[in-house]
Amino acid sequence: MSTPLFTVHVIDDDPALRTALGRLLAASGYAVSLHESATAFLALAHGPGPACILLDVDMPGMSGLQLQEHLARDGHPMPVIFLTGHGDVAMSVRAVKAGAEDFLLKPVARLALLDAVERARARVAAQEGERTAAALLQGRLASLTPREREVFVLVVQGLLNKQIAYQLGNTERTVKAQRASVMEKMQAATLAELVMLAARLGLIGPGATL
Amino acid sequence: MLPRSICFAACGLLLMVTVPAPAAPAAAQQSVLVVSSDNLSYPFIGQLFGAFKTTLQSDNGAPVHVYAESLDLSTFGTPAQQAAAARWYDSKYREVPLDVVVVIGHAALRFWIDAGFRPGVPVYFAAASASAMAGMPLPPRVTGQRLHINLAQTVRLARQLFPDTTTIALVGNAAERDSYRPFKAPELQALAGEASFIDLRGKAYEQVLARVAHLPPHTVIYHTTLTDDGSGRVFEPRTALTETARVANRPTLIDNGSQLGSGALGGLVTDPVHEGSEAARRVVQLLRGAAPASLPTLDNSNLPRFDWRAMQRWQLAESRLPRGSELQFYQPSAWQQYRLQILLTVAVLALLSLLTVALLIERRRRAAAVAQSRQRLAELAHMNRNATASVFSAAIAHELNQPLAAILSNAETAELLLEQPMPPLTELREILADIRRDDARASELIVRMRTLLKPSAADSRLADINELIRQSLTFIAGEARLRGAALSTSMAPAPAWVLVDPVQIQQVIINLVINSLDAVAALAPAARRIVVASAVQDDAQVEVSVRDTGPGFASADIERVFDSFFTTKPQGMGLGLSITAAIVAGHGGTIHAENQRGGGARVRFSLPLRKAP
Repeated sequence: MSTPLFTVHVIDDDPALRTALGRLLAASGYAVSLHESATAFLALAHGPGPACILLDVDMPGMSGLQLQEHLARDGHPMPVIFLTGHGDVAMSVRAVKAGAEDFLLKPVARLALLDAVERARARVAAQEGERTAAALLQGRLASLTPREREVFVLVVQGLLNKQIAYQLGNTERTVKAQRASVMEKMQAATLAELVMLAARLGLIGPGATL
Repeated sequence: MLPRSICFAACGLLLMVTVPAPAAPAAAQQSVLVVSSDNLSYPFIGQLFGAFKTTLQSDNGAPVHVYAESLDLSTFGTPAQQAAAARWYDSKYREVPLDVVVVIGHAALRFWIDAGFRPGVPVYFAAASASAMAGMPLPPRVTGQRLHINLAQTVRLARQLFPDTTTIALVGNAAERDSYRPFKAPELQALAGEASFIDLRGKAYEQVLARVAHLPPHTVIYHTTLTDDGSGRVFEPRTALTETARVANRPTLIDNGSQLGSGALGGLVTDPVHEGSEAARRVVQLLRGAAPASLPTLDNSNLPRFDWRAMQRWQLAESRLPRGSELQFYQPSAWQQYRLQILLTVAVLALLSLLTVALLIERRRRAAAVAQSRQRLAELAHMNRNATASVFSAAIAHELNQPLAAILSNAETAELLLEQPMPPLTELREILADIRRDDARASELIVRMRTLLKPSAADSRLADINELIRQSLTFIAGEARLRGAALSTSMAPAPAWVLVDPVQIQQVIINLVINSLDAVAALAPAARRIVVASAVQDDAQVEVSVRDTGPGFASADIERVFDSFFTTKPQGMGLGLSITAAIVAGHGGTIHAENQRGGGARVRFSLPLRKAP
């Protein structure tokens, strides 16, 4: 694997199945961590690397939903794949509503398992990418001077340079220079691109605040 | 005349020293002299004399002094001896006042008359042979009883008793040596029309015995009296008769009443007691002044008397006996003697037997009922197990799924690893071992499930209660997981052995745990806790308890939870706990339901503890 190793946390109280699943995942190229209960899993400190959870839900104690709440509260949200011995439609619906990434029936075939784990990995990766892009955009926004930021907001609202100069009490030429600086700092080639960036930053649209 | 007191004193003194009175007794007391031809110790004479004395004393009112003399004439009977005896008695009794002289036997009578003693004193004779007295002149002062023995009457009696009798065998002294029974050729001849005779009298006794042992049929023995057999040997008559009767092959008749009981059948007998008593009664009359001539001479009695024991020996029916016969030595059969006791005993035994039979039948019916009830319980328990099984079949499926899932994952891992250029053999080996273990786990579960669902034959064996709990929990653990309840155990440290049907006891534990699972269902998942515990008590029993954190029993229900059809569950039949209680009771145990102090229900049952196998 080129990317950092993806970790699968296997939580099952049956040692035989826990070991077998762990072996299979390890042989398939994942980092594996085995836990006998959700409580035991939460008690451990978790590294920053990408990970998902394979949870046997036929266990007494914490439910899958509770586990996810805990993870979110601790700042480590991760997808949970549910594993059950007796599933039906109602149960799978319930599981997905409870935040399940996927819902697998025991005995689970390798391909189905790896499929689910891969989907979880992709989702983690996508979430990671989004998080990176948003941070970049925020950085560009922060590089604007307060005056440029005002100009940015007014530009994406569709005002002409003349109107902006009037509102800010500036000359049209000054506004024009500030607008070019905004376009450059926000790395937008066209006005449409700038508008899209503003939307992603939440500067326009319903509930937008200045 | 002496004063009476002195007389009595003298008598008392005499009696005390037991010496015959040398001087005349007081005039008031009468005296009788008894003179016997033969020794007074002979049975016939002795019995006659005894009866005479007894009757005399009782009939006379006043005491009578009785002198007794034995002449023993058959031994000391020569004329010289008789003369000497006469002189001696003359001097002996000269001064003795005698009121009556009694002579026993014709020889003594002749001796007394011939000697001319005491001419004024009446003489009474007894047991004097009629034939020997024939032609003897009797003075007027003499009277008495003759003894007349008749051959014909015994022959006729023999034919009456045994109608096919043709022959009479005569045993005893030779005719000329038996003064009472002068049965000589003419007498025998006279009876030739009625019987023929085998005359063994006077023959050597050994010969006689040999003969009587092999007498021809239809013969009856007439045993007269045997004192000597002509060979010089002297016999005691009764002893000889006893021996003859013992060896004889035919019945023996007698004529002497004193010999009854010595083995002879009996006969028309002269009874010495009868003779003696009769003599005494008539002597009393003489003592009271009756003239001897006023008392006619009597003949002896011939009384039909028989020995019951000999009748049995010869199978002689009582109906054949002459009228008025007297049976002696009668031994009533146990039935006749103890009829009431026997009847009672038989009745009691019969009653006891009936009772025993009734009890046995009752016992068998009871055993059958017990067996039937056990069978019913087993069937019911089986139904209950099936119902229980359907309740947790999902859990069983899960339980089975675990090893199957593990096997699948392990197998696929192995495939992956084998694709590698250098497959890690150690890990592959581990994987295969795990597959084998999980497969065993799955098949064990199936075997147990089958045992649990199989109709039980209710057979008992020794089992460790801890092991039974562990096995039961493997069935129910899956269900507990599904229901999110924590199921834990607290076992006795050492194995505790009980003699039980393992399947039924597992069922009890499963029923109780399922009950607890139902009880904790409404609680928050973390609060659903069930503990199964075992403990040995007093080395006598083992207690298993199932306690939970549920709401407990309603106090009004706690007495009824083991009743059939009592339930608090919407879908419950109310049979689980009652079957559970029945199974425990069937194993000689007890079961209790209670609420714990800290909340929650606890059901505990105990079973008798057995020795380790």
